Amino acid sequence: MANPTTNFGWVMPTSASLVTNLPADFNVFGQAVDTSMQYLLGGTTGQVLSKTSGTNMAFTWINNDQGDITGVTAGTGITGGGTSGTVTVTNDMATTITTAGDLIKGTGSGTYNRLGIGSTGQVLTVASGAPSWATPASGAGMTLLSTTTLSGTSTTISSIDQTYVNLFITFERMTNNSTGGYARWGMNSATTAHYNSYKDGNGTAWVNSGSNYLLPLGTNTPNSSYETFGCVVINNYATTTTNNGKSIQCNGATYAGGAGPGPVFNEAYWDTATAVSSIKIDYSNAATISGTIKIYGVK
Amino acid sequence: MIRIHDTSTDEVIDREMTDEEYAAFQADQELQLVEKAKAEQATADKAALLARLGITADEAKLLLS
Repeated sequence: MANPTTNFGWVMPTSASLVTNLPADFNVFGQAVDTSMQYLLGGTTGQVLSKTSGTNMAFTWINNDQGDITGVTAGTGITGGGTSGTVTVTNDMATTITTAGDLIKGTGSGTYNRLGIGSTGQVLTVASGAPSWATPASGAGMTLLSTTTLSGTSTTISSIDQTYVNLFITFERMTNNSTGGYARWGMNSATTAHYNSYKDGNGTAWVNSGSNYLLPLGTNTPNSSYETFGCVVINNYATTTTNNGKSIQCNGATYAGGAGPGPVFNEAYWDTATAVSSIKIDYSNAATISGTIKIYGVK
Repeated sequence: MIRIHDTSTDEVIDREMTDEEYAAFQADQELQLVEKAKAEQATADKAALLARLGITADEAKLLLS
């Protein structure tokens, strides 16, 4: 063996060393070995040695979690990352959401922010080039308020919703169980006439409503197989101002199998200060009626 | 028997007329009879006039157009 040793240069006693010098020589040798091996001390279960520099025997004990990845960089939409130890990355889009119902909206290329939930009834729309919640404009469309099956000698549809502007009423397959008589309709179960005038499709002149408080919807039925259909529009039905545009347009027809007495057209207005809250339907001959009435509210 | 459909509760009630409703019903029926008689009289008068003039209803329309 070379002396000093080939790799570590540890100096050992030689054959020429005096016996009295051996203890000191072994001290030098042992200390050299101790110094060289000092970095191998310590560590714990599962750890591995890692070089701390390029210097010989420069080691430290580290956890055995080393791999090929030397760093994690957070890209677009991600936060966190790192180059050592346990690295945490977070989905930034998810953490941008703070409240139930939040939406994420793009604000530019690779950017976004939070759009909080709107309130009840709002719809998603676009304003100034960006999505936003907005309350839809009112005024469009019709709402079915009621469907009534006719029965008895008259049927009254009461407590009509007063929150619309106009009423659109359809009369479907109205019949009576007798011959003669015509379908009629009126408002608020009035027992005195409030209509200024109406025009019957079979007539040539306007007819003052006179004592009639029910307007004709169809024409006389020769037998019970004849059906009356029609629709009525009552404008400004909820107004309580007399003659304030509470006008009425009515179209009806009575026929069977493609043949019938013909249509009825009415134009009238209701000259009372009372809102229209109910509709009454019957036949002029007091027969039992059948059919369906649908009332729609129009904003 | 009449039917009342309360749209605020969707309740449908079939019942007999009250005295007041029945009185209005009778008055209406009497009015219908009067108007029916008037209409029939007008039709008869018209037919009599056409017969006296010796023309048809269509010819009368043509004359008045």
